[in-house]
Amino acid sequence: MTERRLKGVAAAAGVVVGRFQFHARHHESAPGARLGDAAALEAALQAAARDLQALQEACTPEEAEILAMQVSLLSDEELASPAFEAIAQGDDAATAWCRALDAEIEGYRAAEDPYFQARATDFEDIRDQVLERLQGRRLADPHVASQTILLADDLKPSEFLATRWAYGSGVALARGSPSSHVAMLARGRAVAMVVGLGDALFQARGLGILDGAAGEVVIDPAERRLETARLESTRLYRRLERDDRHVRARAVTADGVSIAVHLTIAGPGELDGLHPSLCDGIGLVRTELFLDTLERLRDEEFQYACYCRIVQWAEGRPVIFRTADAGGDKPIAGYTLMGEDNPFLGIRGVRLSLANEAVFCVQLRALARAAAHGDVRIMLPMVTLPRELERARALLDQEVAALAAAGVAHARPPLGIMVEVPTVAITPERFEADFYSIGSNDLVQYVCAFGRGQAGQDEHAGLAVASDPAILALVAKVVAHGHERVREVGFCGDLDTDPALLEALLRQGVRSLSVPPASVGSLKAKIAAISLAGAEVPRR
Amino acid sequence: MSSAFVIVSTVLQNEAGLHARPSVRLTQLAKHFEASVEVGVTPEGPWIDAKSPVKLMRLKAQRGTTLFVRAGGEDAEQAAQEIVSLIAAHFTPRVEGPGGVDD
Repeated sequence: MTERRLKGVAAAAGVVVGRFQFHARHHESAPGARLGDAAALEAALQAAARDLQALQEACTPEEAEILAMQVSLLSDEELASPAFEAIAQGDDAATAWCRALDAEIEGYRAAEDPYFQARATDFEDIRDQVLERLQGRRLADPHVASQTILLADDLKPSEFLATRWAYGSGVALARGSPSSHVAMLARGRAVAMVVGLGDALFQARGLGILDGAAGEVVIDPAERRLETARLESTRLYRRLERDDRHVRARAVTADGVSIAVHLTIAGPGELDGLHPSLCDGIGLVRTELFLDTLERLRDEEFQYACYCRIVQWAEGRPVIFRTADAGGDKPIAGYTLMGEDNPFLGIRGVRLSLANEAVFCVQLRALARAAAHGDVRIMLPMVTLPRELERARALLDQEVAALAAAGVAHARPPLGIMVEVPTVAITPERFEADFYSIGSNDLVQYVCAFGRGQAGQDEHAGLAVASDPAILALVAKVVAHGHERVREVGFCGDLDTDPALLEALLRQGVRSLSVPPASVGSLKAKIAAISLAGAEVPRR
Repeated sequence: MSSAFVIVSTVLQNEAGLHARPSVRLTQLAKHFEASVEVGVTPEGPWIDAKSPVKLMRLKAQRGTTLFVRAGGEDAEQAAQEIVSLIAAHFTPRVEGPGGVDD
């Protein structure tokens, strides 16, 4: 056997040494017999949209958005209208549907722009899902084991999401594109992927190597290459596993100081598949990311249902809900102001909430009701003046009183503030909050006068970092204030990009951190390697 | 009624152009308005219904394309402005990736 190296295009990093496995297609694109009428096509369209919506439940927000995009296309009458016309002319549903979609797909395949070419797969996915419903078949729930390299012509987003991917599995595609949605999904789930390998890929048998970063697949690899790849793969996955081992353990520094680790999440869907024991609670629910329309901001029942899901997941652990922080880089149509000169310095966060008290009170009411089911805490974003906190407190008390008068189950949650505007960080003692949470990204950009979206040259590196001595001095000030008043002080922000930051924060006395779920393992591992000996810090 | 239309233009600046998710986001915003909202690549049309993601994607408008937005009806002015803001904001994602952090 001679070794053969197939060059493709890198789509998702990772090295897999394993068995090749062919992807089992569950359908043929061209049905043989006449199948279905207009009513059958309508039912199949609706069933496919429903199933996609159900699949979203178990997905991250990013994954769910891709499925939501497919649902939008499926629900657009324009998509199926040529098929319905053909059915009226005497075609069967399956033939008419395939012909209509194939024409659409052809239009994208012929596109010059790679982004548009990659969209052909999205339409193929939609075509096949509806076709399966027409044929009365459902998607299987396939499993790809560890040390397995899945071979396919191309893979569709819904197929990827319906598959259970084991740790250390990979995908090799004959076609496909690194700009495809499926490549994006693979990167998100740490499944190694190489695309564009050509038909030679299908001669692969037995054992092989896939290197996602190099964009290469090796068939019948030589013994020495196998050894090297195994070492590399083991090193990679051992690091991931080490982080994994730390995930469930409590976070303790090398010299025994306990650190509370909380989650930062964008919505209830992000908690699916996670166990609450991995954290000490939820440090930040970014509500504006699922309350992203004026309709939802006004929908108390929708909000109550979302909040309850999160509170129930937490099993008694504290959950800090930040009230909608719209504006800045998170506009909401019909709610945030358009055309502000500098939205980051504009009417955003609590300023916007207090300018729309009726909308704000819907959220306060839904949160107070959810507080009947667990440890709910409310946090205000972008507080700049003490009177903003006082006004929000008055509104919360007013809503709580109204719920009590109406006999609705509720509790009065503690009311805290984000420390992200320098006025608060410099004089925290002016703000009578129940707790404080330092939001580093905004604080850094406001203190250093350098926007976080700003593209800097090399000479600008270090211009706006959270480990800047000025920022650390402010952190120390807020921590000291919290210590004196016996109020909790947390920190949320990016702890991954600045290696010196974590230890600097702990040395300033920060004992409570909030990070995205994917960073929990590596954060706990880093904490375990830090010793705080010599630091003059308050111990809990 | 043709005089009642509001027409504004903007240049597509995001890398991927008007592909799937940007189209869907534009559609979602357009549907918020009573006004008819249409998109074209010249100020004379032809005009594409901005409430249909399938039609929008067929435009295959790439980065650098000037898009014209035409709105007609009650809230046409606001509709046109907000659509242009969305395009100018590179169809700012509503939900960032799992690794995304802010604050």
